[in-house]
Amino acid sequence: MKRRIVLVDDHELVRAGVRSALGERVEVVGEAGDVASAISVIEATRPEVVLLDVHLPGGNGPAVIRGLTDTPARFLALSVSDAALDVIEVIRAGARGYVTKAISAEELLDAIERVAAGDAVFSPRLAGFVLDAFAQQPVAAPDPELDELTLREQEVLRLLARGYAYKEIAHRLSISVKTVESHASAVLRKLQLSNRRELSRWAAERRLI
Amino acid sequence: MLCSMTEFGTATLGPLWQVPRLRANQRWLGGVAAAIATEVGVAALPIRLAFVLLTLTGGIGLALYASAWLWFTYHLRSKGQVSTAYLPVPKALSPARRQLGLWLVVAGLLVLSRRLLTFGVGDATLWPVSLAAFGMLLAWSSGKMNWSAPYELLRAVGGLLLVAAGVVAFIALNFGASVAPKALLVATGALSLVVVVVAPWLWRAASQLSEERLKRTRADERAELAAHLHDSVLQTLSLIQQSADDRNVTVQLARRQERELREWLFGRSGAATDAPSFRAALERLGAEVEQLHGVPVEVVVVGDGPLDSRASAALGAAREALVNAARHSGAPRVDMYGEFGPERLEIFVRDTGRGFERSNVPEDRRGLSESIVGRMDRAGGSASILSAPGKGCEVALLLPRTTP
Repeated sequence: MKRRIVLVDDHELVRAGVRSALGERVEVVGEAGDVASAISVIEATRPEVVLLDVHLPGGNGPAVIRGLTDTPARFLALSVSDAALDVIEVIRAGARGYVTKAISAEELLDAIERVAAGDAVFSPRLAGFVLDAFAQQPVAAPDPELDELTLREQEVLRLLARGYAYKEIAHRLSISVKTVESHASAVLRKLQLSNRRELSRWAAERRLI
Repeated sequence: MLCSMTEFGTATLGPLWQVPRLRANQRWLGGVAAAIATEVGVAALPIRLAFVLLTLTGGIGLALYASAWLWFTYHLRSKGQVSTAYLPVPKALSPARRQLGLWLVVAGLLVLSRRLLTFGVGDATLWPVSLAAFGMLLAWSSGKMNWSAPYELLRAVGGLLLVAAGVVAFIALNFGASVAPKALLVATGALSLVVVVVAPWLWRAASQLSEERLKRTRADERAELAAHLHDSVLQTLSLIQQSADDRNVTVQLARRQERELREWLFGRSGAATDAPSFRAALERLGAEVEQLHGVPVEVVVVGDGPLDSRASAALGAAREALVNAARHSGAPRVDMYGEFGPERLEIFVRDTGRGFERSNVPEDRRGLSESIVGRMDRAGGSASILSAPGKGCEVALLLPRTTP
């Protein structure tokens, strides 16, 4: 069955490009170019996956996710943005993954499938951002459950950053693909729930705010 | 920026009077003594003492100080280079000789001042004027009117009080103590009138000036932006139009431009061009290889730090690995991951291309053994190459960071 998706990007050309790249293998049920119309389109069409641009007129990607209180849709951030803080923000708002627009159609389809199934999607770049953010030592009230990555999670993220796919990681670490997926999901959860102020401090230090 | 008095000094006296421009915390008053000391290469204290002594023994010290303060020009060393007009004062060979020479000069001036100043103006004029001049110097030297710094405020107020004391003393000593209050009243009245008339005008002029400066800054920024976009984005766009048929060239051009623009926008390597950091160097390397060989290179970097010679060696090895992957693997993309950790530095270059068996690589192909493994060995690190036919290739470079 084809996945029902909505494209949210303020550039008409980008939407057209993504649509033609995905072709007949998904069903594009709606498109939107800003925050307000994105919210109404997603509420009306109830897609499975929303491809969400990080930067949007009227409040950026996180505003779309926060504006939708009751939706079964899962979000995959898609952006050319290099700014780590923006990426981390959209993930913290609830996106299940982040891929760059340089991604191939095949990889994008795979990512959509993965997100629709409830998995996390880490591009090498996102893995790098997360490793970098968590590498800072927490200063105040560290909650090891949320504020630190386990050694295994770090291992998985490093391999993701090195360009490995889930299957290759599973093979390399002699664990199952399911376990790799659960590690990735755990990292995503930590990123979303952790109150580490370091995430923003880290971004500030890099002059990204 | 140079202030107006400096320009004046340059015009009349030329570079011989140039002294180093000192930071606020290096000066006591106008920075004259400290500047001379720095220039000649001795401690500032004796120079300061000499000025004080010369002042107390007849006032010439104050005159010298004030004139030096007015006439000295500063050369800026802040950008690591001395202005071309600057001629350094020849320095004596040893510090001891410099000290000796200095004291001789001081002693000579001392004697001279006793001789000269017993004639001329009397004490009744000299001392009040000296006092007022000193106060003026003190008040002016606070430079930027930064009222939040208590020290600056103290200096300005103290200076003004000294000026007032000088004026009162002058009147009292020369015209008798009885006229002093009246004279002071008249002087104060006249002064306040001037202040009332002149202050608003000064204020307006100053705010106009800063407004203009702001406008100019904005215009400059716009011009810089326009220039940058013209040199980069517009050029690339026209190149893309010319080669729109060749998809590979177009994609390559677009990617290169994207990288450049992003680098510029997010300022990752803007300031780091003088002393390249690990992150900036890796990103530049990726962009270079991508441009040369037309294969996209995805660069991910975690952590950052300065590049030393050993890290540069690792970068050289990484470059070789990247070039190999781009040229021989046939993979659509090469991933490079670098991590600058507290104990070690790691770089991974990976492709999902055709891979190879190491034993099948001919001896004369020096790339792997010499440029990668050998280079890492010499730098005190290690390199491992993991590949199998059909399975892609990953080169892992590891360099322990020696802790000083």
